[in-house]
Amino acid sequence: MATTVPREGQTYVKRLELIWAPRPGLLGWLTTTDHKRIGILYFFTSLLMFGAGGVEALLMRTQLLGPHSHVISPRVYDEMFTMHGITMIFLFVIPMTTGAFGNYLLPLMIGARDMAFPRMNAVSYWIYLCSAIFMYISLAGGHAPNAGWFDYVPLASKRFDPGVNIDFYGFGLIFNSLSSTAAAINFIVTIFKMRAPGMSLNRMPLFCYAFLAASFALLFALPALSLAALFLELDRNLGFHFYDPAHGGSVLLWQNLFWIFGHPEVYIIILPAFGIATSIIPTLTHRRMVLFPLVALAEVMVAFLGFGVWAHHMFTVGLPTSATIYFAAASLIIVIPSAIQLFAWIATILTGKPDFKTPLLFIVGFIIYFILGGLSGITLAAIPFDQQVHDSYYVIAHFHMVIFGAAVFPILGGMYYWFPKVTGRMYSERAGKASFWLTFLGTLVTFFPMHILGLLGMPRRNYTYPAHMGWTLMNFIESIGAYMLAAGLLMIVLNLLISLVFGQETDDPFHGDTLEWSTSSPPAPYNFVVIPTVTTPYGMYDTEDRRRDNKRLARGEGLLDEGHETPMTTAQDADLVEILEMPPHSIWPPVCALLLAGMFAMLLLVHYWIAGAFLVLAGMALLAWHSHEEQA
Amino acid sequence: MKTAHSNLVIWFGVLGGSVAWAAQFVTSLFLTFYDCGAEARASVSLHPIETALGIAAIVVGLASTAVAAWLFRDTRRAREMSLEVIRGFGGEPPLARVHFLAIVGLTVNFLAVAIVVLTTIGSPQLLNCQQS
Amino acid sequence: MSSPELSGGGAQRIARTLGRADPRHSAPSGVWGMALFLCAEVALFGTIIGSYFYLESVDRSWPPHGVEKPEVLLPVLATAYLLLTLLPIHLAARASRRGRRGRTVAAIAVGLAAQCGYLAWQILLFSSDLHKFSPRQSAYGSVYFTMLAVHHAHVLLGLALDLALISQLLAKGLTRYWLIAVRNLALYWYVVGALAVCVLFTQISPSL
Repeated sequence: MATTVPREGQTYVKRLELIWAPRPGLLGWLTTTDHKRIGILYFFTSLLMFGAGGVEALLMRTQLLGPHSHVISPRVYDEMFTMHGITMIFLFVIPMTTGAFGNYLLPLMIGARDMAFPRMNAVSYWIYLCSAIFMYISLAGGHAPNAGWFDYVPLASKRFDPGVNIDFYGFGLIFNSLSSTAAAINFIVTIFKMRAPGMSLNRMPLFCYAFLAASFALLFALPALSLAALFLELDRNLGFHFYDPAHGGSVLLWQNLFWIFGHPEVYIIILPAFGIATSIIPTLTHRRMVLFPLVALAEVMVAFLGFGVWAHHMFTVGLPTSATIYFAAASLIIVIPSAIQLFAWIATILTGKPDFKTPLLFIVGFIIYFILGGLSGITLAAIPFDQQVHDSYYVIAHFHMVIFGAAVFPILGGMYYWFPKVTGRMYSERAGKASFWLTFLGTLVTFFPMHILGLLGMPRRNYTYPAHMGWTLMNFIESIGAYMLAAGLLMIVLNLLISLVFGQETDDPFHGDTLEWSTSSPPAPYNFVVIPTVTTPYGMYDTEDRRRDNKRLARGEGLLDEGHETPMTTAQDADLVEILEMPPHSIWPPVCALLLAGMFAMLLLVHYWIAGAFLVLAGMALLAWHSHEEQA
Repeated sequence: MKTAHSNLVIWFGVLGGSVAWAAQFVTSLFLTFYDCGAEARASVSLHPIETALGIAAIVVGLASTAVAAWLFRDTRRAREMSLEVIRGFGGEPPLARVHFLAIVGLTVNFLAVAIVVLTTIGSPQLLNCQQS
Repeated sequence: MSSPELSGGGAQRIARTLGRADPRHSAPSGVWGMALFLCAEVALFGTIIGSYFYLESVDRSWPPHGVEKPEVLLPVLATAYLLLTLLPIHLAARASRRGRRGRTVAAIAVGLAAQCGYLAWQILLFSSDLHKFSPRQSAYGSVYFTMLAVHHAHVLLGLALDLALISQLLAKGLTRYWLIAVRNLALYWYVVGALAVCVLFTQISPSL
């Protein structure tokens, strides 16, 4: 239940409103450093990208609807499956989870008034936007990346792919990883330094643990991807030989580097989803998560062990057996923290009083698909089986179960769950439930038959297939499923858009458990009138804390109403250290992102000196950025 | 009741096993890849080195587990104590957090040691450099 | 860190607003940000060095025939010199903690000049290597020159930071904001020094 501001507090509220008032209009959005506004920008941009990736998927499924079809050309088909993968992973799931959900909710959950580095937060968004535009320009110009999202050499080398297609991939991903690295640093510092007084590590919401783990994984995994892409561009544009066996290079170097990034990436994608699930389940089952410390450690452990399993993507390339055992052991043990979480969710639902509203339904769907995807994952971990179904539709089935079923379902559930928080209005529950069933069945019908197709031998990424292979029926069913799924997703978007205008006004319809529900819906620019203090991980279940906050408000304590301020606390025990003055707004983040975009465009066009000039300009913009001093 | 747990000791109890696993993983893998490259480089068999690395990692992991267990026993009563004592503003680390980290350490170390034990037993059984 | 500057004017206000301030000082969030950025840098260099040894393991002759083994003495001397240039930066951080702006700026300026010398020396070594063999000849050349270029770019970024800090300290004085920046600069250079040693050993490993 959101706390109402007592009468004595109204004067303070007025003062805070004055201090934190956002700039009006377009300029306000362009120069904003408010984590909630940035979260909303992230949300709509990544939703748009989700739409683009979805259209690409539908085009592929339409092409595969029947044998010998020619809906799109083979060249376009290659670009479609590559862009679908890049879009969904780099331009949709990561920005949607860390960018939109993390940005909007994390400071609210830990009782802060903003992220640790608000301007860096803005620059992450603008870089992400520019990198998305950068990569989509390639599609508009008919030169989109076309060697698959993992872009194996030698197929991606200059010799076999001479256009600029792969260069868009290489530079685009390096550009994009700048955004994710900045965001990861920002999240880690925010979680460690900006927590409300009293929120020691053992009282931090599980959502934050999930985002902490994902951010650390991003921070350490992305350099491998950037480096792999840098080597690739040096090979392609300057004639280096990293991936060229004829001159002492190795194609497996690409695979190793890519999967050193790529497997932690899987956990980066799914961990925020775990975090969303662990937020929704306690609220809608009306009890605390069982095994709180074990779930927290499981989230972090999954991210950590995720760095030791990359070679299981490479079981068919002929690694030494004595090397694979190190990956096999880590792959085996990583199941345990995943299972800890799974059983904790199930136990919480079973021992609570579950109220199967739309968000919880999506979480149940998530659990089902996570189990299905996990089971096919175990079969793929058996090396002889993997060697049979490698690069077949069985693999596609597995990772769509995991990435769509298990990572996107909580995102969809989270959209419903926090919709009242962000908008102050309630979605339609009936339409919500209908959209769940449509999406759930659509997912099943689209992706389940892929297991069978894979076992029947259909290779992935095939443009079309002959009629006599026995693949026709399954492909037909999958394509129908894809349209169903698209209808379900469209229904979710429509439900939320219509509710945005016509929904019933509400403040805290679910009686949420964490601190974001202690403030108004939508939250004011300063988030909390009085800085909350915390003595348990479930801020809203402990009404004594909230009563104390209200008393402090009445006395005018803990308001930080002398400036654009937020408290900074110690990393482990969240003891208050000092009060930080935060920067209110800045034009430099978008300028900086634009200059970097110029640099990458010039690199693509092989104008290295102009690219260097853009880099220098970006550096000068960074210097100008510090003209307003915050207390970092 | 002792409360003077230094943060260094606490974090060794949490992370010791994981760091030992990471070190053993990277070193053993590096040696294997290096040994199985274009030319056989090592004149001695890798297995004794791998076993030694594994045992060293297990020892560190067990030491870390012991620390976590000691912290766990020491802070078991944290749940029953009054909020003010647990909170421990300003002074030593608060008991409730130490207790929480001790539970984390016990579980994480168990998993990390398990991985190292599996590889230490497994790797000498396999022929070096045979393609999988 | 128990300097009066770092606790700022906030201490009394904290007492007024939220009760008690923690007497132990914890690193400000700006330092955390720099430390995490440097973690990513270390991961980047770790991956480059890993790639170097991976390529070495798959190549039959390393360095390839016709390329002489890397020189040892000059790179070792250059790296030792770089480590020496960390001293003025360290002194700058110490002077800044005592609130001495003039000394801080002077120490950074000395560091900057010395580090410029280091970079110039390394560029000379780099171009003399380029005369001997090319990154376009072999994977060895590719990874050798890329590793060194990334390291030099890292040093160049440090020089830009030196310069930016000098200008800001002169223009704005030793405010709390720029005090943290000096601390971050020192942190950055310590890590550059440590990475330089790792790069050095990788670079000269075929001759050892």
